[in-house]
Amino acid sequence: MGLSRFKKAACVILTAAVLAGLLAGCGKQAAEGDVQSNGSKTDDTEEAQKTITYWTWVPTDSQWKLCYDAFQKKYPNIKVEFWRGEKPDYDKKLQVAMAAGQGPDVLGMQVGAMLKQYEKNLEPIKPLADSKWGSGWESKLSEAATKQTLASDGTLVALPINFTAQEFVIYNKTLFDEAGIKDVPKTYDEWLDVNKKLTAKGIIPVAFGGKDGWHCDDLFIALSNQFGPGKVYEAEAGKLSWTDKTFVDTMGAIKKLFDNVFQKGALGVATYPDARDQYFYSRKAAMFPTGTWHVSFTVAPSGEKFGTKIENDETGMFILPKIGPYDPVAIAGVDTAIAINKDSKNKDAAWELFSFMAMDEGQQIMAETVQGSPSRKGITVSLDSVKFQSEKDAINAANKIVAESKYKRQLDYPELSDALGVAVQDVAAGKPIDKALEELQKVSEKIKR
Amino acid sequence: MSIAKNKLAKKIVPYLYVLPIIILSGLFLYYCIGSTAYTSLYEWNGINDEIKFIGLENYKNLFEDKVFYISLFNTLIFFVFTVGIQAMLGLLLAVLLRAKLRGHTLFKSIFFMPVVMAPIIIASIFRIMMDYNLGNLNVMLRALHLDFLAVSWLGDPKYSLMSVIIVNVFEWMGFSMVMYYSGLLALPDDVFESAKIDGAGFFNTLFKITIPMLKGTTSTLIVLGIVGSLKTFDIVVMLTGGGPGRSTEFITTFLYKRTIEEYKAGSGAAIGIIILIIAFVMSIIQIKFYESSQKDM
Repeated sequence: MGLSRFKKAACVILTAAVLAGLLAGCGKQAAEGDVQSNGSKTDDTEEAQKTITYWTWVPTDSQWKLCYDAFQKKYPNIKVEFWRGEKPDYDKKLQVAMAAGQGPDVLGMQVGAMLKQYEKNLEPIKPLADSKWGSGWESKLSEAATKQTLASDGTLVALPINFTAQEFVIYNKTLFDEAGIKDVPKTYDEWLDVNKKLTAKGIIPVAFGGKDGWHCDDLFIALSNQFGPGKVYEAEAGKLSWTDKTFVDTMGAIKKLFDNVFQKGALGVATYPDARDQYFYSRKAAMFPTGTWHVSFTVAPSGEKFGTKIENDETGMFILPKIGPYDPVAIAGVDTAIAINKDSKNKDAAWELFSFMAMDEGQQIMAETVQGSPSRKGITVSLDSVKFQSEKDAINAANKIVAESKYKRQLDYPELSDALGVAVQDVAAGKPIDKALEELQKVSEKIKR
Repeated sequence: MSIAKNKLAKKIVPYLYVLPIIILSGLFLYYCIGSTAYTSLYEWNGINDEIKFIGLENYKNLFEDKVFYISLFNTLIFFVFTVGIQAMLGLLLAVLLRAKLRGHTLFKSIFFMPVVMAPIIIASIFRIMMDYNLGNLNVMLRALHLDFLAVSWLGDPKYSLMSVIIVNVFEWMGFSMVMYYSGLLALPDDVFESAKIDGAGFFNTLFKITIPMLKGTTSTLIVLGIVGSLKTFDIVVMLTGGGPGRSTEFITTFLYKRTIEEYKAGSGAAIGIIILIIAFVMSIIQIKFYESSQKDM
């Protein structure tokens, strides 16, 4: 009898404990001040102090520290809760949070497919910009800044923090000198020649991150403009077949690069961290194809180069050599944009941060870190902390190329981007080019444009 | 009156015992499954509230998608080889450890260590080790003049899936070993003594006594292997990202790409439901198979 009573009591206590635990999780947030549904907080007891949340993948933590120190001096009453992750982690976190109505006040945005998906969740910028910055503010930004950050209906929903361009090759000039190489390659044949000299010295010539679909996309899009300028965008729009001769020739060139120029096993190497760390920064490879965002690695003291085996080596950058009949061109675009969450409960404070990063002092700070080129016109970068002239030249060249580029980098359809990356990898691995392009065309045909 | 009360109490008490787990599994399991099934009937990008009912179209599109079948096939190959190899190696190790040779406790710990390590760490280490040019594996093979064996483990579609399988076997072999070891300890010693007296050697004992008597453990490992294979994601993403091409595209990486990279949460939810159905059906088949083999015995 006593045992039976104990059992009953145990059941009731256990059930109550479990329920209390579940409910406590819901009640906890309500107890911590006045929590807003978009994840930011306002504290009633300190009305002057506002707290907003900013999630992104760029600026990096060290770049953000510089930005935030300056922001806090200007706006001591605005506290920013900053979260930064690598882009894939950021994508996952943001998607879940926005779906749950818990997204940040200010968010990093990538133009192209990502912006198209989030455009309905973002605050239109033009009305705010017109009222806060006055008329004519657009003339202070580069033309592409306001063109690439439009929603499908033409509404401006973000502004760039920086621009970058692809496809470039960062090279170790010191290793080039040791191998007796005086000039960077400008053509495919010159590249083969350079590679031969480096291989003779036991240096792996090129470390390409072929594992990454995004890098395969960039390589294809950049290279296709050497075989048919602008045609890749016609194919993106569904106006040209992906089996067109331009793309057959492009894939042929890509096969040649994977077979004869890039390191063996490139398809198994990620750009970050492997191609960069295991090969280039470890002084095992002399060249590292990447985008202009990477020139920041030479900026002391926070540049990635420092603390690696190449920290005392001179480096430089050149555009992907000419392989097709047309000259190589850069594909440029907004690298990271900044936007305001439409559901933010602190839009005034969010606007101050937005303005700081997109138009004001944040542009100069980010430009000094050389994480891409600024979108604001008239910003000059001192480059005093960059050691070698070739590295300064690389940074200046990157800024000039970005400003002059006519071709965009990102495709607007994520399924097309994914299929293109797969097609490039398939061809590099030996699949017939026509088969790979036919499959790409099938994906393109299913897209609702 | 008090007898009636007692009878009622006896009926209710068992339900009260299971109530906590029903509440928890109801909230975190069945509600989520229901919500996923509901989402699979809609076209939704997973972000905003624009959601359109499309019925079974997500499923129809999946069944017409070549990549879906490739991912299922890769997952099936992965399951067959990992479960088979893990079971074989695990059993062999367990049998050797049961012999209680010198250092068996230390070796048991060493073999089990990968099971408790984070898969991300194991995959990161193997990704570096398996690099074609600089990885320790190929450097060692070249040093031993076995250059023909130094392949692009992760960058060649011919070897990439096998490489993922190898890493998974390394990670979970210790678990199979521990399961079989526990099973072996539960077996009566007199059976093995009788076999020894009758002149049965190592392999005869292994194949005719040990393995048949460990059917239950093998069945459990197969069921766990089914579920584990259908969930494998982290090591694939870290090692190959699903490539090169689609050579290591698993059903889980396909789901991730659909949902997160292509913003098709409805389609991703449909893939999730299909995974659930496959896991359920395969587990039932395995359990039925095991039960019928027990009846035959």
